Amino acid sequence: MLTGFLIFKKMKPEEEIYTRIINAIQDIGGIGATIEEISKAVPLGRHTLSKYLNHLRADGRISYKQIGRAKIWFVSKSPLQHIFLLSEEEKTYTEKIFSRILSYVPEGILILDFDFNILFMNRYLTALYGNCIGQKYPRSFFASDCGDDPCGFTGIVDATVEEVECRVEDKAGRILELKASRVENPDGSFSIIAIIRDATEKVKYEQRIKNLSELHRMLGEAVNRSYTINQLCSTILKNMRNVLSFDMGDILIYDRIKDMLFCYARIGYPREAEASEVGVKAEDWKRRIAMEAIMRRKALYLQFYRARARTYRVKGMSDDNELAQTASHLASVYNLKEGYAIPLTTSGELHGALLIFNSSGRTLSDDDRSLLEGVSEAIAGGIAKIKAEEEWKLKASAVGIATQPIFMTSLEGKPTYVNPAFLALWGYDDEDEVLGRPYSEFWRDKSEAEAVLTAVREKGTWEGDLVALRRDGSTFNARLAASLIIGKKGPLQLVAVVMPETTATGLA
Amino acid sequence: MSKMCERKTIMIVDDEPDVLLSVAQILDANNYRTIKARDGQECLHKLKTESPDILLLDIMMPGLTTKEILREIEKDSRLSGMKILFLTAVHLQEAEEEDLFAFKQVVGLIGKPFSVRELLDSIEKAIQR
Repeated sequence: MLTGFLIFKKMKPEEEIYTRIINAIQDIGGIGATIEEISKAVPLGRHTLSKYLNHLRADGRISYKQIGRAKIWFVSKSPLQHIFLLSEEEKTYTEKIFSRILSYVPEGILILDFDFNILFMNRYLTALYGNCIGQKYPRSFFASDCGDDPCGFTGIVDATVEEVECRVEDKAGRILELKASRVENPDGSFSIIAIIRDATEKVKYEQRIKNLSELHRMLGEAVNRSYTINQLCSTILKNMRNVLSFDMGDILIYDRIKDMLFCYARIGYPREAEASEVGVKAEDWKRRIAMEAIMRRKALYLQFYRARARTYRVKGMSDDNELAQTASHLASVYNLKEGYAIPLTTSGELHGALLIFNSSGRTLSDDDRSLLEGVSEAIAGGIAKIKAEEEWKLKASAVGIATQPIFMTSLEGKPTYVNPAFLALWGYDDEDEVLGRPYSEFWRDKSEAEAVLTAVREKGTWEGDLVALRRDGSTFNARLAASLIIGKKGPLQLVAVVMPETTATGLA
Repeated sequence: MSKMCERKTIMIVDDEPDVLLSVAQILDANNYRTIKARDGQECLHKLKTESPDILLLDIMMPGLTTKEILREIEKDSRLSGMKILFLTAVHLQEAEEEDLFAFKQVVGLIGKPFSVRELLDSIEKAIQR
């Protein structure tokens, strides 16, 4: 504390001298002041005054020009700019270090006056826009009128805001992240200092992540809401087109039995072309392209160019190549600029292929393509899930039409499923009359039935004879084969098949 | 009775405690001697002192991968007679299946959910091989 006080007491008169020197230089005028002229307003010995002048210069508040043997002193309007304007020999040690740091910082440093004239820009910005010192920033950076203020610096000029932080697109389509604030100059004026970063890549990455998560979200929704593969494929294609804005697309699904690809969804094709004779052929050509991607086990990207009227060629492929011929035929039907075929696989299992085509000026960026490849496995997973569900429904139908009674119970022994044969044999009309009731109610000897359940839980299986009890009280002998089902997380339920003996034992 | 004379030992490796307990309980009740392990590390540790006839190995577990476990087992000649049956809740792709079945001791795969009847049949078949 004491030290701080002493420093304050010591510094104060020096600060007064500094202020007097700056005022003296300003009073003398824009042409600058010699040490003799300054000494008239600040009566100090020549050496002492020289010492103070050099302190102020090191501080960046004043600068000088060497004219002959005399130094003409000026008040720095922009100290930062001043540092960069000096030659290496003229700079103090601190200025040298500071100017190097500022020149090589991996961000742009821009200093403007209040009329938005560029006073200083560092190497980072010069590399992007060239040397624009003296020009207005709206024109140099944004190609807009001088009166415009794309970054909202007017707030700083008006002192309504202390700081501006924004993200703007420049004249070259770069996304700039900018943070600007007011900086006080030694002559009492203010400048605007802005730190600028080219965030184009960052923004693209953010957009890609956003698109990817949006696609995954929509894909999850589509899988949950779809009952058929056609429904799922149509929804996926529509959602993808909304996010990526391509012109045309298809989802082809592989049929293992027929060993063929079938189109389950398509979007964007002009109706007239699709309905034409050549449009029908185009379906085969699309299959051929999809098959190529599947065989290669990786995405296939095709770029088309027009060789002659209505004749297309594939960039980088010889005309003799069969795939190039097929792809060129397809390109001529839909005037394609580019095509992208992605195999849809889940850990090696083939489900089909996704085709994307563009005919307009728009093209898929590298990011779009990697995004498509990124979601392709999720699409294939969704298709696999719906396929498996359809398969299970078929198997469930088979159990449903089986002539032998089959039932499932929870581990506690309450029926969770009975097939129609069970209902018919036990004399019930509806499964609601059976589900949830204790399983022992369907057998004459309840304790024997409970013992079966215990045995299945303990040993995993049970096979033997029981006497079944119908709804009307009659009984019949039955052979029961039961097994515990173990799922991913442990025992799930018990499944039993009943083999009724033909002779009924009459009423109990 | 014959089973009683030659009681086979089965090591069950599964990270799901309910699967581990229920399968062990069922196999105990069906006259097998069981050893339980919750992951590949514990499996390999127990295999240093035990030589089961059958290893029931869950494919998707945290820690060591199935291949890593199989490679370690292959190195131990003492375990060369042990047969391996996989348990899996995921559908294995052709390539993955080929890869895992390339290990000589692997004799089969049981997909979850499975009935205990399937499990017992698969074990019986594996023993007879």
